Amino acid sequence: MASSSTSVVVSNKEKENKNTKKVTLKSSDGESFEVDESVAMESQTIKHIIEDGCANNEIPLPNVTSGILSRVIEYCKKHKEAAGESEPSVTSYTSNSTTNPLTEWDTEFVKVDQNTLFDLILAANYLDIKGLLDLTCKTVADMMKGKTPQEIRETFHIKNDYTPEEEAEVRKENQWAFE
Amino acid sequence: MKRRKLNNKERNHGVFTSIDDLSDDLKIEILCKFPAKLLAKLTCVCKSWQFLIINFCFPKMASKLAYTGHVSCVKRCINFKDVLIDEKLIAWWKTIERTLNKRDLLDSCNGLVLGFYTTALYPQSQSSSPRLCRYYVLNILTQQFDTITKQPHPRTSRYKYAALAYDPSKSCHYKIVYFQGFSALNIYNSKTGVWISLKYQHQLEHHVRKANWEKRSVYFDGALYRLSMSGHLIKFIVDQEITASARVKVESIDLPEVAKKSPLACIGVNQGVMHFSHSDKSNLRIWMLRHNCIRTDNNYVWCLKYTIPSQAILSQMIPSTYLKPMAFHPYDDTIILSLRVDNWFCKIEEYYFGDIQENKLRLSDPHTHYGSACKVVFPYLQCEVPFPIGTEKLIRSKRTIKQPAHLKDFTSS
Repeated sequence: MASSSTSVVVSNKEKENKNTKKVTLKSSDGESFEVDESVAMESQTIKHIIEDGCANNEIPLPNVTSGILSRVIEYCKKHKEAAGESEPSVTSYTSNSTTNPLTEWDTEFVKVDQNTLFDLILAANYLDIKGLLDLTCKTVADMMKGKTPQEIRETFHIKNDYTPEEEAEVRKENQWAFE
Repeated sequence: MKRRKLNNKERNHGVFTSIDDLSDDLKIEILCKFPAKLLAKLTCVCKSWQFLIINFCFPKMASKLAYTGHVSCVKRCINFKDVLIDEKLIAWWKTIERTLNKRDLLDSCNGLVLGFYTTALYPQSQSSSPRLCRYYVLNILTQQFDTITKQPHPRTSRYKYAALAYDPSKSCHYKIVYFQGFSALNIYNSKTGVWISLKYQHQLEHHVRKANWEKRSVYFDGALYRLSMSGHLIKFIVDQEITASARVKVESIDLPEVAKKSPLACIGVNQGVMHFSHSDKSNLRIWMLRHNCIRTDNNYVWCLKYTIPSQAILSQMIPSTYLKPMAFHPYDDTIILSLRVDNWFCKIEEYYFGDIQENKLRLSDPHTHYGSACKVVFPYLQCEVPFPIGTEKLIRSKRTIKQPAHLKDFTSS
């Protein structure tokens, strides 16, 4: 009698461990973040590392600083939660509809300075998180809409290497895009 | 541990990340997510962006073009079927239509439309003034319109034997190919802004050249194809470096025996392969062209794909209706047919021939009839990528935009 009850307790514990399996991600500046494996697997890069059996203790991410990594984890957590609550089809990353409950959260999430925004793009690309990459790229696109090329150069600190004649010509060729 | 090169960010001590710090690959990926109109604007920002957008983003965006309907010319009116759905596009098209006087639709290729019109050089003069001849190219989706002049000629109708060679997935530039008689091609290249004549006279046999040629051409894989009533498909290779001898490579391909010398035929590109269709009293046949380059000579083989009894298609029609294939759908097993009675009553319908059980006519609009005026139909592929405008003035302005030295040099045709 006693032995059977012990085995029941053990199997429950095993199940518990399996549900909340964790991984540790280490940022470039040495900070460690413990997250649920399912959340970490929002990143295809991390997913492959885990599946290949290379994730022993920690997964080092030398291209991502702690500040950015914590934000990325926040994004992944939020999106994983939403996916778990409703059907996968609702969490459409490129959705323009207001019915997407995450749209508002996403909009707030990308209200950051330019420096952070591009760091997020680099991180999303490196970690291969499609939703985050699409979101951040769309934000950059929105920042450019309605601006003149000069305003875009100023916003993004890009050097103008056209001579005035060259610039006038390329502008004339693409006049239709300014209407 | 090897010392790796510092990237921009590290050089700036990681203080500031700007968009220029991103690698070219990442820049391209981000830029490709933007709509084409925004990208056209962004080419004005700086040279490296212009280079990336024109050489990478636009070709990527043009690699698969959407198709919703065809364009036809009926009673000198150009109709876009199932294409003009956006209010803005319709409004834009209406203003363009008003500026085109006697409009003639000549060709449509990968989203670009070619037409021809003439205007009086001196509109005020009463007597017949010389006419200004112009080709026009337009893209409905990008709302672009441009004209290219041709020197005046007493018989301007000859200029209507022209076609477009345009593949935005390879290059933003296009060519207008005017078939100068039966011995040369007069080609306008938007890259150079000039017309060049290339002879091909001796490459085609006499009877092939002298037979009537079907007006419509199809551009496929760097070549223009035309049907000759001599029973041949003529292939003009237009995408090639102009050699010193200024000749264009031409060959004639024998058509299937049963289909020879009949005008009730058409060619088209379907699912990336050249197809040929022919109709006679009993059947509609569809072939595809297989091209083998095993030996030094080119080997072309027609594979019969489908034979459909005409009765199956015409069962509900007035007797003595006959079929003429007009064009192929680019992706589906569908062909665009025209149904004629004594050459005066004419309807354009799409016919799905893929699965025998499913063969049927898509009677889109049973009340439209065009009369004998509908001579040409082209599948209209939708291209969001812009084409260069104002290229005619290129040669005069001596364009010298150089590519940034540090970027790889990709040749564009």
